[in-house]
Amino acid sequence: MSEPATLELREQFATPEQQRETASIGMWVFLITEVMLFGGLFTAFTVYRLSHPMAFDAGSAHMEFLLGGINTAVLICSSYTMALAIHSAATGKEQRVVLFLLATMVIGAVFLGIKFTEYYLHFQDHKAPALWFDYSGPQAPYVQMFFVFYFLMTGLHALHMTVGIGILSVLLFRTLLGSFSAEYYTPLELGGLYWHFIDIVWVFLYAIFYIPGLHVR
Amino acid sequence: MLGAAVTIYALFRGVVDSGWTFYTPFSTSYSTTYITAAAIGIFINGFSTIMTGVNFIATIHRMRAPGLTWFRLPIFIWSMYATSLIFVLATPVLAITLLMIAVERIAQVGIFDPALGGDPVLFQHMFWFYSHPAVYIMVLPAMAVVSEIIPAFARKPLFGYKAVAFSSMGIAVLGFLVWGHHMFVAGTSIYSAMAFSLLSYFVAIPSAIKVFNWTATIYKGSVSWDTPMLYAIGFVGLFTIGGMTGLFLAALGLDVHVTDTYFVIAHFHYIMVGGTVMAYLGGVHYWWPKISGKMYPEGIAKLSALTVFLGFNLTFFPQFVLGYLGMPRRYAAYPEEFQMLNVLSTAGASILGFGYVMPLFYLLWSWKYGKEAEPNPWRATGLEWKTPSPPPKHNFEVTPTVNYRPYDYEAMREELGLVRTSHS
Amino acid sequence: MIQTVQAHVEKNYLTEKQGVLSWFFSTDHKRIAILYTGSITAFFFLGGFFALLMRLNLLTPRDQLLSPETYNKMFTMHGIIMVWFFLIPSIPNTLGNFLSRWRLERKTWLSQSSTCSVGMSSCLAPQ
Repeated sequence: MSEPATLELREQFATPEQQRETASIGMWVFLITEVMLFGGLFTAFTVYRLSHPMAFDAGSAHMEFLLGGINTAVLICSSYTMALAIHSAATGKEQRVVLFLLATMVIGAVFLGIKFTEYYLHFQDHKAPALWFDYSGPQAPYVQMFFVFYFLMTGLHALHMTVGIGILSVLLFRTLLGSFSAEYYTPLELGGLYWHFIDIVWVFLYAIFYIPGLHVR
Repeated sequence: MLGAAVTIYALFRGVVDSGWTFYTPFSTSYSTTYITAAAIGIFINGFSTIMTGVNFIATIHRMRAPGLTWFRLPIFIWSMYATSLIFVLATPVLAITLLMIAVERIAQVGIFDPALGGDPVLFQHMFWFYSHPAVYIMVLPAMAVVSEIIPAFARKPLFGYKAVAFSSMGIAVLGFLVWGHHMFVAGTSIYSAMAFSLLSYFVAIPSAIKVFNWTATIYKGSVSWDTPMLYAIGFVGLFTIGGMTGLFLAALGLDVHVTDTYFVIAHFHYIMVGGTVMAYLGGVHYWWPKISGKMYPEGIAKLSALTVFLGFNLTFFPQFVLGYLGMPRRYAAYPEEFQMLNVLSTAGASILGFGYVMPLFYLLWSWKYGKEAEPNPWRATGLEWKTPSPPPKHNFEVTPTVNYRPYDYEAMREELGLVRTSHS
Repeated sequence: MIQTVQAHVEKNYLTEKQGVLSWFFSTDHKRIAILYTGSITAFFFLGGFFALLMRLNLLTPRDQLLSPETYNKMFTMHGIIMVWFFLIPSIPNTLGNFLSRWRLERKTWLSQSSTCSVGMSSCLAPQ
């Protein structure tokens, strides 16, 4: 019977508890920097929205509301499977960890697939700034600004998702190698934190891009 | 360095000409230089900065030696902690702003272009929201170094340890609230300008507290004038001048007259160069025995400190006058009547440059040929002086336990081998 | 009296392991601090060089040394290099690293240094 994996106490730590806590603080602080990163974009978007509400609403009316809604549900599911993965790790059920990590990754990939479908649809609809943008209604520059922010912010988010899937694949690999156990699953926890954060960012993106257009339709 | 490498690439390919502040719309619509490459280079550099900040914060919260409570931390660490908070909160905003510049240039999408629906002043808001805290990133560690050097060479505990610690945190917090003072003439509302002006006055208060505390530390201390102390005292004086001229700039009426002139340049160089660079040099000299295991030649070091001080003042003091008389910044040519002051400034710059080259040579020289240094050549308190010079790979054979107040020179007198001299 | 002569070998972070590679890939925060010191010193003098050119140009009222466009580039590069590649890293990454030991120390300089040569070689690409 192999021994459960334990934390390799790195040189500068006195106890495993200390190492775990430090890693955790590190991840939380990193997530705060991500908040500031996306926050800059949210702030700029808000400034423009406040000065041109009609144009931004018009832009929002052209969003694929159904696909966006499905994506939101999809991502929330993936957060759920991620949480289940962490729980399985904590209770020592390693096979379940593999299962749930895989599920999270697959669902994440579905999200990205739907996202790129939306991008393609926007392109076909001539709503892709810099590539093909055509809008004949009033305040066209500001509608274009809406789409610039849409692509920039969801693009940045999609990039973070892709990196997240990469991180999960590394965690999956390590789980298969047996690096984790009920005593030590800190990297999984940290990965989970990151994943949940990306999910929350999406919820806010959904709120600012898709929902305003509802009342215009 | 990767970021630096990309920026150097931009340099060799034809350089950037927008000014380090990248103001739009020049940087986005009109400049023909490698703005995107430079922006990306700095963006990547930002990752390193952010990681440094995350590193510091995590370590300070969790990895202190046993017995090191928050109020036993060296002041250096308090200031580094405040700096890291700024790193972590401000740098991502710069990152996203530069990213937007790059996207705008590459995709021609006009985020800051009025013709395409954008607002150039938004760039200024976002840029300065980072860049003002950034200047505190540059000065807080310098203050940290000075707060270590002055007690060591005055043989007295730092006056008002808690005040200095909290002032560091105060500077970090207030520094986020004053970015608008770079935009007094940018066309923003007069009411916001008044608010930023008032807040800028407030942010000077913690810095002033520190200056008073350093002064009080020296008062009735047993002062020895070694090179690190010369640099530290230089810092206090020059930083005070720089800081006070900052208050002049925070006054709306005066700022309208001197903004974007050499007055501003002199102000921030007094703080960055007269402040940070001098503190950096002081720190290098102070910890040199620990780092290299050798002592630097004291005579030459004092001479170069003096050269730096004189050269610096000759370079930048005329610039205050130039700015007040109206010479704008970033101009390659100027009216005839400003020539004398410019010549003085250039003369000072050559002296200053010479003063900087000297340490390069004698420090490197001392690495090989200098006198061997003992573990605690300055008889200072602080954990680092308990290790040999230079320290072994593992720093301490046994993790030390801290059970004394910081800078407790009285209590540690015997241990440090300080000789009590009588003062009347 | 027998006197034993002991060969006193000083083992410190400088003598621990020799060789350029051992420095570049070191995880010892003190070595990393020295690496940083080297790079920021280089940047300091590079930024200072641009400053020198500016001040030389300003010796005369008309731009006799540099054209206005070149002057613009000088002050821009002076600013960028000094602010981001010297001042901001200076004290935290050198003295800070040396005096304290951090968790992520390995990742910062290494990720930066390993791509430096790639960056520099791109400079040689034909214009």
